[in-house]
Parts: sequence; C-alpha cells; structure tokens
Amino acid sequence: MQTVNKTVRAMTEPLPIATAEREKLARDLTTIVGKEAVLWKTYDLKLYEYDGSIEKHMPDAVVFPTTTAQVAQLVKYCNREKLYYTARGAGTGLSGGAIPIKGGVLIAFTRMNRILKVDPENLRAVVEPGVINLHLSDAVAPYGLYFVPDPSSQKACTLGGNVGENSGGPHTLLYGVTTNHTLGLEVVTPDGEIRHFGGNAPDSPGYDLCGLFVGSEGTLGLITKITLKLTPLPPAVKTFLAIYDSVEKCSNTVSSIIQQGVIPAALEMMDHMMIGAIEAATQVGYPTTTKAVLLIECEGFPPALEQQAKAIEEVCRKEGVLEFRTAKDEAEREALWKVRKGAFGAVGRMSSDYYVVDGVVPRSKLPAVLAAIGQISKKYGLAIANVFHAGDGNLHPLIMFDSNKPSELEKTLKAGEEIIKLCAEVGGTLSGEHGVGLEKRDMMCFIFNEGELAIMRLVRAAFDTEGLCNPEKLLPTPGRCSETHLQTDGKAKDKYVRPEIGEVW
Amino acid sequence: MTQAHEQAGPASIEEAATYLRKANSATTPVGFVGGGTKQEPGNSGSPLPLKISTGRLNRLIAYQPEDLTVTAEAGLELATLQATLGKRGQWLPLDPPRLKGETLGGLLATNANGPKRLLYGTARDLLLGCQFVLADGSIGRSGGRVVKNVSGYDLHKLMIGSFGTLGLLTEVTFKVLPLPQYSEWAAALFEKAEDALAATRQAVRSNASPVAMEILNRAAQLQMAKKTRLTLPEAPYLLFFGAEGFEAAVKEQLQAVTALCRATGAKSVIETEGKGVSTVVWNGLQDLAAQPLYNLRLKWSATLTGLPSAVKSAEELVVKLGLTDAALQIRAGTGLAYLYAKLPAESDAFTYQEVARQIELARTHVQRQEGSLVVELAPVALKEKLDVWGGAGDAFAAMQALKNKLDPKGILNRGRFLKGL
Repeated sequence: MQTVNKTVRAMTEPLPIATAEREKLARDLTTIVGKEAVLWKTYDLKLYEYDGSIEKHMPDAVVFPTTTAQVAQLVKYCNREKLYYTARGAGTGLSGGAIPIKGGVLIAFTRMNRILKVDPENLRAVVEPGVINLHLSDAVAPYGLYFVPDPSSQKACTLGGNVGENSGGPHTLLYGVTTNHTLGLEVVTPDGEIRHFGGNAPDSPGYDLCGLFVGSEGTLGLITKITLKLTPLPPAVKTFLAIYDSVEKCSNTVSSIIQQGVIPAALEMMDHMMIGAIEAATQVGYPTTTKAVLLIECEGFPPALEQQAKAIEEVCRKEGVLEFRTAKDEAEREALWKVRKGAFGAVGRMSSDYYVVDGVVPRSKLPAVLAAIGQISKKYGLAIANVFHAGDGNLHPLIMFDSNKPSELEKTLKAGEEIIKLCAEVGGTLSGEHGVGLEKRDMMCFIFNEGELAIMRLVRAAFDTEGLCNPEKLLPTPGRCSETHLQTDGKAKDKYVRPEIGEVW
Repeated sequence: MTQAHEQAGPASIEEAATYLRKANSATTPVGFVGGGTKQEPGNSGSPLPLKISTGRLNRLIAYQPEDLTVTAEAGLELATLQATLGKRGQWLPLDPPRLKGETLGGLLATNANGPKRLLYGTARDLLLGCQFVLADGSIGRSGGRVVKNVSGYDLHKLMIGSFGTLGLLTEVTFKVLPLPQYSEWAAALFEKAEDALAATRQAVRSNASPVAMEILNRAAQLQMAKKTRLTLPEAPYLLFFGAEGFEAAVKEQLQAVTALCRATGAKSVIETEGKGVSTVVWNGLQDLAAQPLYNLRLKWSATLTGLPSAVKSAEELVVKLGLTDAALQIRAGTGLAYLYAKLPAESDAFTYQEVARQIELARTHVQRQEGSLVVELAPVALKEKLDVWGGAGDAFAAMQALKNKLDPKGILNRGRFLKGL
C-alpha cells in the first residue's frame, strides 16, 4: 500500500492549461474526433462544468467520440500529454462523478447512443453508453421485455452513467440494481487498450471485472459498449396506497411486508412534509391527519396477485393503516405513481433550492432514523422532506434551503453530512444509488478505515496506472481519515477530519 | 492434492492475517481450506507448503431476519447457516450440490450454485459485502450489511470465483429470502434435445418465471433415479421445470411452461404432485454433479441460442471418447451444460493426450460462439495435458495487473487458477 501512495505522489501533476494552449489541445483533439466533436471555447465549456450535484469545475476541452477506436485514441493522447480525462453521460449524476475537477478532457458519450443489438431470444441488448435509459425499455417493449433499473432521471440519464454509478430506482427492490443486469462490458482501460469483460454467456472464466467496473464511477476506465440483461414484462401489476397517521406505523408496515414472504416490486414511502408539498402542488386529497404514505406495487400472475394483495392489506390493517387504496385500473395506477414521481418537483415549488441526500439503513432502523432526521431538521432550522425506497432502506431526505440566504448552503451540507453519518452509525451506508463521487469522497472514512481504503486505492492503481482517469473521485486522499475519532457500527474506527466547506464542495 | 503441508487453523481474522504476513515475507505459497470439498477443481498447481483452514472462523456474526441479511465468518458451513435461517422461515437461495462440510468461503471462492440460479441468481447477486485478508496480511473490506450500496468498489464481486487467488475471505454478508410458500416440479418428455432447448428458451422469455429448467439425458436420468429412488418417466431427454411462490401462481406458471413444452414437441408432461416429491426432485438435480462415481466434469457455458450447438458438441465428444455412460445435465434456462463421466484409466488405446485434444477442440467450438468450456474435475494425469480454464481473452492483462497488485509475490493458491493468476 505504501507503494501506491508513493506512485501517486511521484507523478507529475498536470497543470491547468492557458487559453493559447487550449487552442493547440483543440487542434490535437480534432485530429482524433473531427472538428464537429470538440468544444474548447470558454462559453461552450461553461455548459459542461457541472452535473446534478453542487460542485463545479470547467474542463479544458469537451470531446464527443463516436467510436470505441476514437475513445482509445483519446486515452492514449491524454496519457502522452499528461492530461486528466473524465467520462460524462447526460450529466444527471448527483454526486459529482462527471465533474472534471482538475480540468483536462471531458469525454462526453452522448453521441455514442446507438442500441447496437436487441436479442430477445437471449434476453440481451447491446448498447453504446450514451443510450438513454428509457429509450432502451421503449425499444424492447414490442418484444414484451424491459430493462429493470429505473432511476428517477430515466428520461434523461444514460446507460453508461447507470453502469458507472450502479444506478437503482423504485423497481429494483425485487429484481436488483444495475449490476444485477449488466453482463458484459467493452471498456477502454487507462492504458488505452480495448478490453472485454464478462459477456453474453454466463460465468466467464477469470475474475469478475465486469462486476468490479459497475459502480466504479468511471475511475477504472471508460465504458464503450454494454451488454445488458432484459426481463420479461410482468403478466399483471397491482398498485396500492396505504395512508398512515404516524411515521412509525408506516415504517413498521415496511418491515412486516418484507418479512411476510413475497417481496413487492416496489415499496416507496413519503413523509408528511413531502405529502404537504405534494398536496400543495396537486391536491391529491390525503386525509388531514396523514403523516406518512406507502406506495406498494406487486407483480405476478393474477391469482397470486390477489393472494399477495390480501396479505399486504392485512399487514397494513394490522399496523393501523388510516386508509388503504387500490388502483382499479391503469389510469389510477398512473395517478398514484405520478404523485411519487412528481415529489421532487413538488418540493421545488415549496423551496427555491433543495439538496437530495442518499443514504441506506437496515430496514429495521427506519423508524429511529426518520425520527433522528426530524431532530437534525430542527437543529439546523431547515425543512426536510422524506421520499424514499423504503423496501431497500434507501433514504432520500430532501433538505430545503434558500441559497440567497448567507450560509444556508453551508448549513444544508452540514445537515446532509450529519444524516449520512447517522446512516453509517446504525449499520448503513453512504449511498444506495447516487454514488460517492466528490460529494461523499471524504465521508468514505465513516465506513472504511485507512487500511481498507488503501486496498481500494491499490485496485484503482492496477487500472489507472497514470492517475489521470477521473481524478479525485470516490476515494479520499491517503491520511484523510485522521484526527476526529468516529465510532460507527461498522469497523471504521479511524479518525476523520470534517472538511471545511469549500475545501471539498 | 497430496503434498505434505503444514495446516494452520487461525481462530481470529488477525491470526489469519499474521499467518499470511509471515508466509508472504518468506514467499511461501499458501492454500486455503474450509470444509475441504473444493480442493479438486482447477489446475493441479504448485505444492502449497502452508494451508490455512477457516475451520475455526465459523461464527454467525449477525442475523437480522427483519432486514433479510446475515453476516457470518467464512468458515461457517452452508448447511449450518441454512438451518439457522430455516428456523426463521428464510434461506440463502443458493443450491449447489449438498456436500458435507462445505463452507461459505469455499462456496464463494468457487462460485458454487445449482439449478435454481435461473430465478435467484448466483453469489454475485446475493453477496452484499465481505472482509478479506490479502497475501501481505492487510485486512480489506467492501460493501456492507445493507441490501443496496454503492459506496466504494465491489471488491466482494472480485473474490467470488477467484479460487482464493486474491485473498482469504474471512467474513461475508448475504441477502437472504423468505422460504417459498409452495414449490412444485414437472417433467416433460422429449425425443430431441433441440426441442427441449427450444421449449426452455420460450419459457424464460415468457413471464412464467420458472425457478429452474434442467434437461437430463438417459444416463443422467438413470443416475438420478438411482440416487433419489424415484420412478422417473423414460425419454431420451427429460426436461425438469419448477416454480415457487404462492400456490395459485405456481400452478399457473407450470401450466404455462407445460403448454410451451407441448407446443415444441414434448410427448407428455408429468407433474410431481406433493411437496415431498418436489423436494426429492430438486435435491436429485442439485446433487447430480457431485456423484463420487464420476472423475470427469466438464462445464460448457453458452448463450441460450448457442446452447444447442454446445450440447451437440458435448454429445459428439461423448461418442468420440466412447464414454457411453456419460451423463449430461443441461442447465438450460441459464445457458450451461455439464457432462459427468467415469474416465477409464489410460491405455495404449485410450490416451489422455487424445482426450485433452478432443476437449480443446470442443472448447474452440464453443468459444467461437462467445462461450467457454471449463474442466471442473479430471484425473491429475489429464489435467497436466490441458488448460482446465481456457482463456480470458483481452481481459487477461487486466486480471493479471490486478493480481500483481493484490498478491505481488503470487503466493496465493499458486498455479491453480486461470493461466497463473
């Protein structure tokens, strides 16, 4: 591990590029990808300095390759010129994974957006990384198939980004997240070589590098082709809404449903703050005493669905449900989902700014954690609405703030960090689906100690030998986890420095 | 392996780390052993002067039935874990051949699984996190104890199926599931393998979601009948399929698959009424791979559409080698075909050189269609004449770079895995 640190430090740090040099860079890049595929003027670059997170940094150039060969040439060029490079899809990421934090070349995959093959008999699709998530499900629907992971941003986000972040979504409770649906990858490794991991057939001999790459946040190489698993559409779907006058009853219902046998396809919860926002935006007509609602969706054959529906209703009644609604048809089902999917928008109406936190806790800890989040909200004087994948224990507190008020962003980030720390302390984790990126890089110390992080750095160094591939993401710099003692339920007993705001964000 | 070696039985992770640290300083090759059920697969490898046993690392660390997660030390036996989970109406949905003493570590290191992987997936879909010790004694960890997690690299996925060549697994966390309320199997009789395979392809593409689809040739049927004492229907190919869940749904799912079988040429379909019989069928299919009478086990992996050609190639191999009693078990919904046989001793008329050549030819054939062929079990004399794993294509250099970082002296299970990894 010592050796890695030395290698990283010994490397010549690429310097920011002056405008005149940027022109030369643009000319060089043009020879690889063509004139129409390079951006280098400041006003163009400005559009690519951010993603869906809070951090910003301008690249020195943006390129739009259209072939794997071009991507390989770009990586080789960056290696030769000692330039940092970062992959970008649609820029919808919430943890800063696509921010070129040290400048360099931003490789945007939006023009590698072809669905190369739909193979219904093998339940496979081969796509380029720039294909939009929903476009794949739309393309395979005529065959009675779909791609399971459905992040909220599925109308905009790319499959390459999904693989990079190991994205989830409301419907991943039963069928798993992106990694469970990714079978093979074509990648350009940081040595500029094109390699193939996993594949169409199961159990490829050797190490599961495909499994390692999914969720590696673009730090081990660039994905240029993806083989995905397709799933038959369910024969029937049933959707319910359970309304409660207490958060506790609602969270207890989640545990009871999970325990009673058959796992629903989706199990989403919203608290009273979220319901208030939704009610203000759409007047759904929840009872005035509503404190929490649960959106439940089951899939299967009709007779089994009836049985499951009965079992779920019984659990809800036993836990003291105020009202139990069943969607009678597709229109009613859509209405129920519209409320869930419009949740962020509804908060946007109430507050000029909001910050989405992503943390995971063991499902049994939901009531205690939600209560503690209420305390954090009071402590910082910031309203927090909760809407989340309850079945997975994956929380999404939305912290509302006003960026025009002095120090309110700072306060918000602190509250967010406190929530994440809380998740770690009860045996949970930093992120369920948004990734670590820049946002939570230093919070990795909440759950991993220096030795464990050193091994992850070793793995990174096996691929990114030059230290140029998506720098500063995912792993804190060595020694970051020192000073403040942090005791978590896991084994991270190392010391942790609270970053000064502005240093990390 | 029969070489004399020293066996270490650490009682704690720290102690295991100390053994490894010392071995690494002295560049002593090290092997790992749990229940000793997985010492056969892989290349014969180098002599391993030290074997570290996980026998004493066998504690259940945390079991939260309400969270559907369980954490245990790697030396815990799978059967013990299943019994513990069973008391709370849950299970770890992995069904490898039931081998006495098989540990969680051994199960993961060899990526063992069984017929029901079609519905439940494999270890990579169920392992939430792990702790491990690298060759130099440093202790690592990845994932966690929650069902959804994207914090850090999924190093636990690297450990699965790596045959202990990257590190020693010490603690593992699994996602578990409620036991199915109802489970039932049926068998369809086919004249031709292609028809049974076509029925399978249609079934997995439909929304009948069978839990498993297994095709047995005559030799495999006879072996299964002998072991389970079931009277099985006779046909050149028997396609077993099952469904699990709510009883009403199971019936409907089986009916849907039955209809597909009839439409693709099944002579008849026989249902196995009753839960008792259902379990016997499943266990029979699960255990077939581990019958002691076989000394050769080959595994073909193909796409679903490539599987008929792989099966044909396997049958041709049987004929060429004159292995008349060879059993063929096709994990048809997944794209796998297993061949089990009793290989005669070498003679002038039957050389292992020729056996090796024929296996390599079959491998070349399946590799051309994106598949692979692994020799899971073979006499040592045969293993010496072939590459049991086959290649990893252009991924190999990346695998090697990773191995060099994590085990730079190459002491872990030296020579056993793919091309020296």
